[in-house]
Amino acid sequence: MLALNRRQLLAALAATGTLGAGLSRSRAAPVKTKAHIVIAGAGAGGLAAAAQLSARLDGAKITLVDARREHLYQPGFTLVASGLKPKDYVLSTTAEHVAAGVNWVQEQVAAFDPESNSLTTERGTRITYDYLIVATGLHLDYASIEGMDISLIGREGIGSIYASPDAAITTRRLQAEFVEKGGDGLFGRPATEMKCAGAPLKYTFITDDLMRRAGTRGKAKLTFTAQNRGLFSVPIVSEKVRMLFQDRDVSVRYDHVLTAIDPAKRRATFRTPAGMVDLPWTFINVVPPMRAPAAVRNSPLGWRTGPWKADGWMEVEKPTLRHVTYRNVFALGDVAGVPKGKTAASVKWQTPVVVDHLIAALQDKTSSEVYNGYTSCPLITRIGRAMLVEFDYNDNLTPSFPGVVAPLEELWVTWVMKEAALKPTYFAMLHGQA
Amino acid sequence: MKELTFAALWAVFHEMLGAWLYLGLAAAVAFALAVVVLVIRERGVMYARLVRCYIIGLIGGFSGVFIAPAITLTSVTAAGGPADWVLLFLVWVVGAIGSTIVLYTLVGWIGLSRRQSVPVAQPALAE
Ligand SMILES: Cc1cc2nc3c(=O)[nH]c(=O)nc-3n(C[C@H](O)[C@H](O)[C@H](O)COP(=O)(O)OP(=O)(O)OC[C@H]3O[C@@H](n4cnc5c(N)ncnc54)[C@H](O)[C@@H]3O)c2cc1C
Repeated sequence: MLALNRRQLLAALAATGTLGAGLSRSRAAPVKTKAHIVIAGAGAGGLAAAAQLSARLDGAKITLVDARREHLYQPGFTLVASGLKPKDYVLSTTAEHVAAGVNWVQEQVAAFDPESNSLTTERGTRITYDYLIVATGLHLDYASIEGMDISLIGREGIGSIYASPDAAITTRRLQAEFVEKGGDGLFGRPATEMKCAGAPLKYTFITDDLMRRAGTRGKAKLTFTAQNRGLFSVPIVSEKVRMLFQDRDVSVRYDHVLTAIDPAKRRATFRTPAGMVDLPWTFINVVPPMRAPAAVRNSPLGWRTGPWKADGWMEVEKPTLRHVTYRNVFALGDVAGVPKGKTAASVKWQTPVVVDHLIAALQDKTSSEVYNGYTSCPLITRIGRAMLVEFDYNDNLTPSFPGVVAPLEELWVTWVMKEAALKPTYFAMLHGQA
Repeated sequence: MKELTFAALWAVFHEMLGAWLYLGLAAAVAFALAVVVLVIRERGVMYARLVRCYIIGLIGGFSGVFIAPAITLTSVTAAGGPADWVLLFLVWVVGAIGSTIVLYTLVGWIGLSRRQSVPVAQPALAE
């Protein structure tokens, strides 16, 4: 009954001319095709692409390949790890987001063979495709930090907001203890490319704020270790964060890359230009190095030269995310070897571009859609305030609400967006509606 | 957002509120009807009542200013810049006008139903 109401209402609104381009676009006649499109990975990018493709194509066979049954709303991890949201805030099922008519193979991809337009799953099933979208996200490489293991999260003051919803809950427990007792708080980021580079910063700011509210800030020393000379890849944002850290009395150590931890002694070892440096912790938020998942890293899809070769990020064109060698292959989301772009907000801008180029290719046409590197991060600076940081490949700020929501200003409106609007926008994206 | 279309906005609100979106819209339509019918039956706007309701409505506006930040897990002290003041002002305006109209309409309908029920109630009282 509700669905009927909605349709009636949409029809009424359309009739009065209230609806903009959004509806007229989805009303464009679907493109007829018999192509088999395979999407590896059913996370943010994979699900959104499947939904948009199935809405715009008629007769295509669309296959999602991913073993994961639970869907994780990762941008919520920071809020869970700060005690602001419960665990179920970030949990849903993959099944509820798979668009109607899309075939879901519940297995991991073990190997990609773009030469033969095929991939093999972990159980040995070979799947051939006409077009492939790789949206496998990235691999959190905890093991490459000597002494670190995911099972250590929750012990000896070791937290990590990245690993999983459970890790976020466990990290929250440690954070609460730290907020109460004080000591040395260690925060930082890896030297590799990473998803949501703002998250480690946000977590530092939130911990500082919780301590101020609890009246225990004087009992703690908070340190942020940066992997290079900056705090954020966009210089103007980096400067702003530097000033804020100064204001909040967070000390910064530049050129510090976490290489080893000793849980028993609670000491972390960093590689610095001046040699190895040890720092003590009472509470540490370990953010691991991030690389392309093994199946992608071990395939011919990664960069063959340059800085992204070692970590296996896919060698794709920046404006289209189309593979430079295998033209029927696209990357979407975190796995793409492009500067910037590793956020859910980027996925929202990338998906229509990838889908449009793929559909144009099906019709032997070309598309003019371009992805400019748009990346966004509501950078929480205290509970109740955030900065809406949006930028492109060229480190330009690209504010969505210029003159209204200032990008480098700590605002409640921006917090409202992160806290109330981001999750519904994310789900609307998964369902191909935003 | 790349293109902020009505369809996208609708989808976002739908994800946010689920069935409450339809219930809320239905309630809004029903309420708008109640206002129109009241004005027709009373043959115009009762200014004395409107002013009285407006004074109470101001309190509604101020409570909105405190309730809105609380909904977002923070307090009014989070407001930090011009955009925040504008948003809070809008919340105040909507809260004040909204509660004024709601009060005005409620009081109006209660008055109407009392007047109607008088002849029916009298025999009951006489019993
Ligand atoms: C702590 C944290 C905070 C964040 N905060 C924000 C934020 O505030 N704003 C924002 O926009 N973004 C944020 N992000 C980033 C955002 O969640 C990711 O950028 C986004 O999910 C990327 O989408 P994706 O599709 O590339 O990868 P994912 O959503 O991670 O999905 C990848 C999928 O691929 C599957 N997969 C992996 N390997 C294989 C394989 N071999 N075969 C088949 N399937 C495979 C996985 O099971 C998974 O389902 C945050 C992330 C974290 C962890």
